[in-house]
Amino acid sequence: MSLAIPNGLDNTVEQPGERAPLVLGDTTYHDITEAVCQVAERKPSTSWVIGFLISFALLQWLGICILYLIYTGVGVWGNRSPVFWGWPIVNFVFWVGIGHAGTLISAILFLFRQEWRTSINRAAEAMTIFAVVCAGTFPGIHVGRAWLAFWLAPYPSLNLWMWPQFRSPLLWDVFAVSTYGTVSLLFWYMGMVPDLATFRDRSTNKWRRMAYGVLSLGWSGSSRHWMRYEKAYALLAAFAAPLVLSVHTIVSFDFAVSQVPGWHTTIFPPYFVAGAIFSGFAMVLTLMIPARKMLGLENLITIRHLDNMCKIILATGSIVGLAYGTEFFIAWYGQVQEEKFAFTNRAFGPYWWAYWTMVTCNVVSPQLFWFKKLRTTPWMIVLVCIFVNIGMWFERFVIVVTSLSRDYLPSAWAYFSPTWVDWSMLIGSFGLFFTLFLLFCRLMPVINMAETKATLAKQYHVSNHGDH
Amino acid sequence: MISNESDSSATENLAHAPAKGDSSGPNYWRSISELRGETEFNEYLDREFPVAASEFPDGVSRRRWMQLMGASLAVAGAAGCRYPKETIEPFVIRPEGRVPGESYQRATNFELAGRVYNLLISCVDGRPLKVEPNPSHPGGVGTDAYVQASVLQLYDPDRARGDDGFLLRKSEVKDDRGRRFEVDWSVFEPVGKAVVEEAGEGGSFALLMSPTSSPSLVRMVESFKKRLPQATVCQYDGVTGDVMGRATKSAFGKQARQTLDLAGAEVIVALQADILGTDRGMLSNAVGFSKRRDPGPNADQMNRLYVVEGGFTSTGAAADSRLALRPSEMPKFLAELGRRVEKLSAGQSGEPAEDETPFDEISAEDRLERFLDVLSRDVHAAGDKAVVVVGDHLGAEAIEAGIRMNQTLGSFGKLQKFTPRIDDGLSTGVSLAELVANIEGGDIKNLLILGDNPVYTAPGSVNLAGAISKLNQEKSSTSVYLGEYDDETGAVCKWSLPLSHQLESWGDCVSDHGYYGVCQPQILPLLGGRSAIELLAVMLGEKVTDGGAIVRRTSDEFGGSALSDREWRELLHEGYRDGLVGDDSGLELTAKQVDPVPGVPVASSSVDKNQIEVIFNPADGLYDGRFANNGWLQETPQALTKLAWDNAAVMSPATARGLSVDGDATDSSAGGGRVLHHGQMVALRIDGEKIELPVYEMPGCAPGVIVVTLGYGRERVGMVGGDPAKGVDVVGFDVSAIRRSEDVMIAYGVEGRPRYTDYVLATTQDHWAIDERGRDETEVRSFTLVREGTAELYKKLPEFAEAQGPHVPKVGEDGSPWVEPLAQLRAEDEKKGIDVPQWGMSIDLGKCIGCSACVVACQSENNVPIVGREQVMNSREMHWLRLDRYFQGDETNADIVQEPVACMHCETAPCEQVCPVAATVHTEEGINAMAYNRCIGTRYCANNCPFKVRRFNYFNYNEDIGTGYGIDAYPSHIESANRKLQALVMNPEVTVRGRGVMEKCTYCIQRVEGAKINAIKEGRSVADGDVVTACQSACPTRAIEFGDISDPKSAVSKKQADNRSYGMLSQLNVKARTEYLARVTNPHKRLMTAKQLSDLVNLHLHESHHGDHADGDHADGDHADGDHADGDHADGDHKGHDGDHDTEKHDSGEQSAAVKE
Repeated sequence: MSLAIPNGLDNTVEQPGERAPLVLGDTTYHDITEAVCQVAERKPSTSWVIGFLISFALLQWLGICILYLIYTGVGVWGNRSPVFWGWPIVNFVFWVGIGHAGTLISAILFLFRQEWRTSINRAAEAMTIFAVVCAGTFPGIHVGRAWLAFWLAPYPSLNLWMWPQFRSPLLWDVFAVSTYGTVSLLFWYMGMVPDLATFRDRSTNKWRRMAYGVLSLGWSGSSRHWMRYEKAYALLAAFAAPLVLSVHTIVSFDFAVSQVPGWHTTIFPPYFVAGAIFSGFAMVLTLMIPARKMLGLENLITIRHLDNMCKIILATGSIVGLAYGTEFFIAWYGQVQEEKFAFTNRAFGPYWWAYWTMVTCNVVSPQLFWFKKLRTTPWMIVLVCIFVNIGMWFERFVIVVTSLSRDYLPSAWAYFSPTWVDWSMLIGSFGLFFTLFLLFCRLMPVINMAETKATLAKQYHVSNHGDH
Repeated sequence: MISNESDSSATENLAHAPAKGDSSGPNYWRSISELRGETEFNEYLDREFPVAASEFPDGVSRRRWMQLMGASLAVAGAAGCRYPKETIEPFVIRPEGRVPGESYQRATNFELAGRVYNLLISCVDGRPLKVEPNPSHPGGVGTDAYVQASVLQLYDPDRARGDDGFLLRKSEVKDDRGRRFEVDWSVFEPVGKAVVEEAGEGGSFALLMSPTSSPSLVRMVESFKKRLPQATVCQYDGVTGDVMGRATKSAFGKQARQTLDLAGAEVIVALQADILGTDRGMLSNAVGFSKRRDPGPNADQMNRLYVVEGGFTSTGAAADSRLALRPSEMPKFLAELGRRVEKLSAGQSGEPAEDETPFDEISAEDRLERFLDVLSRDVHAAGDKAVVVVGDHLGAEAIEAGIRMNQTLGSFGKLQKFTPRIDDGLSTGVSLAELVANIEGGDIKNLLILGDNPVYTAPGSVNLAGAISKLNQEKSSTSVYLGEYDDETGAVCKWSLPLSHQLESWGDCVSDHGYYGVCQPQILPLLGGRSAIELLAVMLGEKVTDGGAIVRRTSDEFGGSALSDREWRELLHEGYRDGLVGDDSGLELTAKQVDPVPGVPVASSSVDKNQIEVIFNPADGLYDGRFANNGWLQETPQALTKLAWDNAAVMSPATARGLSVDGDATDSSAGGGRVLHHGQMVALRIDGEKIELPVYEMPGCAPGVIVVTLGYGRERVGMVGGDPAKGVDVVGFDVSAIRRSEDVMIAYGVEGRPRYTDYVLATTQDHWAIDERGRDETEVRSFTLVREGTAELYKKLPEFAEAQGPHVPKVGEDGSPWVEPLAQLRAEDEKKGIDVPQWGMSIDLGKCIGCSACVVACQSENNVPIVGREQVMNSREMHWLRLDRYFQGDETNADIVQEPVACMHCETAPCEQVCPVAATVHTEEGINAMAYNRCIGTRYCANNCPFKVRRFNYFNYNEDIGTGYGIDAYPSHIESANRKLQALVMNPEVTVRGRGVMEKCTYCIQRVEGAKINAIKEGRSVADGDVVTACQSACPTRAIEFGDISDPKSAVSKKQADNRSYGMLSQLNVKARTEYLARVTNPHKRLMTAKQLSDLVNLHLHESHHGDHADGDHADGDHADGDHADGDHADGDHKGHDGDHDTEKHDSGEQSAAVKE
């Protein structure tokens, strides 16, 4: 018996009284298991191997750069007075932003019962973890004495006899990002347990079986297990949901709490959160679209999924655009000399190119998603999403570098330019991200099989019984 | 150790250790030798150190070289440089009064870069570490950047080295085939003696030296002349060409030194004279000038400084009214001024004109006319209280004309004084050019050069190097150079001998005012150098060759009788002798009739690219290049350009445009239609000689005038200043090629051609070539950052500084809605009855002349590293104290304002609250302290500091700069000039910061703590004036005051209570502990700019101080209506106002009537 909707049906069209299907093709429960497991069980494809080699090489390069940095000094970057924070912090905020989509999809959409999240949440969560890893790298190596970065942690030190300084937003960052990282990791891992058990059960190789056996924590699929699993999952989702909002809020405090003109604005928390979701979704799409093609998951990650995510991008992109406008309005309305200048300088000063790149990519390009045709054409989506990612990187660049480069005393103004190490580390961080992501694709269930099957069941149920 | 108390023993201790004939080291080395094995050890030393440079010639990696030098120092330091060898054994019983590690001060005097200094040197354990002015010296108190940096020069490992045992490089000599090898002083001594002995009458012997203020050197040269009566003595001043000497010779028949009593002057006219900048008398001028820059209770007492100049100098920036004029017009200007004053005296001039347009809005021609008119009236009115100073650039005739004008005015002998030069008549009247001609003609066979690198400083038209090379070709000839470095001159002479530093040699000098003082060594010659008097004594075969003995004998001669040991000790202790050794009594102006220059000056705004006038100024940091290897001075931003590690052709944007129009058809590289701009190269040509250097666009320079600085582009200095032979880039551009020997300070008729090739100038501040939006914003902000008003405005509105600032509403009792933590602390202390001082600073912008002495003093006191040119270009300079410079006005009539900025020690410090590890915290005394050990370098504090005074150690600037940093740039850059020998200059009381930590001004917390310890020892509390910060002590104008602001009687409290006092960026509610006193200038009303005039009319205190009620009152126009019958209410109201704001807005007739009612 075929439970699924035939291939080629457009599931982006809303039919009155009928839920649009989320799994396409003549997909059965077994098909789902096969589709997901084969990704990890087959021999790696050539494209995977090439991608992995490139990413891994970039990761190596990042490692070399970090060693060089720590051995030589943070002067190898372009940071200077008054731009004491340069690309490392730009990259940090950028990656933290990327890390927002996963938890949003898995936690908030879960709590809102958005079924379409099921086939994309796993990969998105993994991306969150990897983006947080990338993000966490930068503040750690960014400090002047990286070997003492652990002083940021509130550990009871008998030598120093003191705690960190709790008024500093940087310390809040430590808490916010580490909490977020921990909860996301737990959430991700917990959600994987049933699927890891499937992997374990299908393993033909002793080592794989042992590894997945340990990872699946003795999952047997009993009702008791399922009951506890679902409770725990809901609890963790409830716990993770506010974190989605808090992390970038707190990251934005790094800027908002300071008194640098261009940083000191109360709009930052919502604006940063919207921007983070915006960039996170863009990154998920950028990865997911080629991945679904390469891994043959088009029936599970359907055009409807892409369409929905594009709508979120459109919404958050518009919020970001509104925030840009609001900043200018308030700068004018507030009539503070330095703030007024900070914003005109953003748009028309020496960094005008960065500002207008940002506006074009972040405000103009997502508006294309008003057109359904664009929302449903994968390569167009990828193109726009790449633009969004570039734009969001530039947003952080504009905020961090442009504001700092011209603050209160004109005597201290200077123009920042990056060095090859800055470039290497930005590119290298992508190496880290993709290495982890490609490994994840090979070793872990990229799609939440258990939940997708549940969707399939509902889909069958709904389509057969009409409005129940 | 040397001390004031020990005399003869000290003298003996300081005598050079006899040259060691054997190769074994002193006794105390034996253990190490044994440890390593004698042969191996010696081999190791021979191989590694003495020939380091020759063993690693061109391709040597910088780091390797540094390691070698570092290691050599580690040994050299231990080998007895720091201690007299006789006392190197540890003290079994500590000598009375000597506490190891405690600093002590000794008086000394010396001449450096053409200035005489009266100093106290702070030493710790025998190491001279810090230069302070001698506060008791009657000749004026103050230091400048040169002398502050002299301690670094002392420890410069690149200085020429001599015979200090087997460890150091020997003096160098060239053999007949031009090869250089190293020998000992003991090798030179017989040669030197023989040269003099065989010279007969000395007809073929020439001595080349700079003018000097040292009586001992004069005495030695006199005995040289006695010995060789036919010998040539040539005195050559590499910067001024001794114009003043020629002028005074012509005016008085004697060479004399000029001193100005600016404290007594009402009107000062500086004609191309940088009296507050690079001129010889700068220190005492600054002291005198600043005495009348305090508007205080009576602004009428202020002096008025008029400056007419071609470029822009510190004096121009300090001027009340400044006129940009080509130097070629200045003799006419002076003559015209004289004629007008004369006319005024005769009562022939009419009433002054009524001006409708502000001074900065009229044409250049009108500006010149109005300036002359006002100036002549002012000078006439001031009479003998007016002094005209003509700069060396304008030549001897103009200087003499200036002297004669002062005589007419009556200020000659009062405000402008002259004292006879101690070396008057020493020279045999041969100029450098003539000497070179004589050498080339074969008349001179033996040449002795005493210091100052004349081969480099000689103008392009004089080929001294060529002449010496020619002389060297003759086998029997001798050329000897005694220099601090084995420099360009050392390279061409057969003998290059190391000259000892002023801090390590005996000497003496007579200040320009005529005070005699002794220069006593603070340390044995580190690198085996000898002083000029010692060298002459050796060559002349004198019995006494010890510097100390020579000086003491001179001192005896000066005193008229032999000094007793006690008197000698007293002289050393005080540093100077009371009473003048020379005064102006012997100087009478000759009754020569000098025809004034005919013609009227013309202010031309067009630029003729073939008639450029080039002004040569000594560099703010490098002087004539002698400080080129001094990293502190290389990195001190030049006063107005803020260039560091670079020099440039400074010109107005109009000149740059003028140079680019009508591209020369024969000149293929001159493009048509392109405009030469900031940072592009320009070529300057005269008499077939050409230099190329980058353009620096500076508004306010006269059109057609280019200012270049001397001292750059040296090719044989050291690892800091450039040495291409060793792979170290040359710093800046040598401009001497286009200097002419007849007029070394100025060149007329120079051809300028654009080159359009780009060059990146290293500046510490954005320059005029910043984008227009940024430039406009900078100017707008500069008015609130550096507040300035005219004396007229000050009289009308003494609180003008407050009125100029942004409006800061007061909230709550302390200005904020919450109780400030510091206020809370203070209240608690008060309750407990503890008297904790609260430190604060006040900087008087009216007195600051931007001389950078404070910057270098801070660097010296606080172990602030230098970072090198490349890091300066990356905005990573480390100065804790910087001088901000802003341009105001347009490019033709620009004004420059300056402001020293260091950590403000905000009470609600933005840096403290964002530091995640609490590395920057407040002390209970209100100092924003840095715990370097705790800092992990997040740099958030620096981002949040609105003043951007925090400095980050991106690399380990104190040792080896980042390993592998900028791999390609490495060997040729100067990043790591802070080398091991220079580590000796470090102040042991200040932590040397490592990489990755933040640092900044600490209010010299080590001095604060030192004063507290002293006070505790004496059982008292810290008194006002106990703590003197390094910047405060160095400042010649006393612009900086430091002390306890919780004590209302302290000097700093009084200054902060002054109505000129304001806090920078006070709108941020940071509650800065450093406040500024707004600058009050004193221009004539007719010479005021539009801004000054509008301030005078429009400026008033912020309305909100009245509260709503009062505002309503004003708006209602009650006073104007004459509606005062409202009764008590209105009346009381007005009274309330007046009590609060006496000067504000209430000057109308009706108003006063209302109040009287």
